[in-house]
Amino acid sequence: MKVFTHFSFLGFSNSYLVGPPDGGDAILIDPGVMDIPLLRLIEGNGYFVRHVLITHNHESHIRGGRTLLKIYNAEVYGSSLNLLEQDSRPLKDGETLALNGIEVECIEVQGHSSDSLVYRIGSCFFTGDVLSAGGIGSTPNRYAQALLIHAIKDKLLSYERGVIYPGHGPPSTLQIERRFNPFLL
Amino acid sequence: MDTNESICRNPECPQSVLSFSSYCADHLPDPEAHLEKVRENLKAETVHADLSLGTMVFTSLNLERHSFTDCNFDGAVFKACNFEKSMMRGCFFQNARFEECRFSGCEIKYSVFAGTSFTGCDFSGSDIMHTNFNGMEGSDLDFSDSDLYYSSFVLSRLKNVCFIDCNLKKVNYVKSRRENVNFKYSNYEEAVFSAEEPQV
Repeated sequence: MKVFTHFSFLGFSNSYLVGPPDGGDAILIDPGVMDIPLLRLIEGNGYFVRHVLITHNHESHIRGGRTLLKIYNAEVYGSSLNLLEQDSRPLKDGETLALNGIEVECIEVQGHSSDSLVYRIGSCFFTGDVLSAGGIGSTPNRYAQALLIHAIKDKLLSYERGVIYPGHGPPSTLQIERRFNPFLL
Repeated sequence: MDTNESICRNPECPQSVLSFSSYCADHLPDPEAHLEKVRENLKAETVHADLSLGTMVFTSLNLERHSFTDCNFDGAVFKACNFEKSMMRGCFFQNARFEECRFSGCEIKYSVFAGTSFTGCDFSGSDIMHTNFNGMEGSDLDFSDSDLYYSSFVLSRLKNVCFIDCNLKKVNYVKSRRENVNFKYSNYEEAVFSAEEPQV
């Protein structure tokens, strides 16, 4: 399985394209923008976007979704019944999806937003705004921050190892965040 | 990143194999021969993808203008190696050590150098974007004339480091310790130095 990163200058956010090494049906996580470079990334690698996973319903992570769906007839997954102005498949904490041979585990991590999901595909964690390199998602108050930190430690750092692909900023690993994330020390 | 990893041939060993071998770093039957095979391959090719060469030690390797995509060098050691004008994308160098290495004119994106030690390295004139240097220990480094957009140096320790005439927009220096670090002519007002609030 391969993972490609695409950056949106509109919301300074990352989108991720996940698919088999030789092309075929692919998953797009957080379509922050739909632009020519993303289209070239998808088509140039022989992919067709069949599934769109939304980590959370903030504009910087979904802004390009409506345009993407005009090009690719993809199924949308996230926390609620309606995402990107169409019916979507709501997901629950711990639910596992089998998307064209790619297994996706959904992990609910609240605190940054009530609808935040982290998607685990193999040893890769797509964390949205929940966890980033050296940081955590913004929260409205101290209680929510404590809730978020607890959830990250309980649900993500309980895995021994894994690569983190955040919604903003550079990639990281669980091992690195245990050692160098000031909010989790 | 390619997540397909083969497991070591040694019974009950769960570790991933090194490239050009069926064994992990702990169970290599002939480490010297393997190192030589790796060196030959790195010299013979200029485009490298999906390599897994963690914990290996490389000395005086010339990798100028090479391209690395989705490679893993976790814990590797590089001494006096030349990476000038190379491209690295989606590579993992966490916990590695670099001594007197040259990276000038490089293009490095979406890579991880967290927990790495750098001594006497030159990164001048490079594009180093969306790259994780958290927890890095760096001394006598030169990042001058580089674009460091959205890279991160959280909890890093920097001594005698030049960031002269750099693009530091969205660069994260939260909780970094800096001694004799020069930001002259750079837009350090667009970097992040305070940890009062989460950044996202």
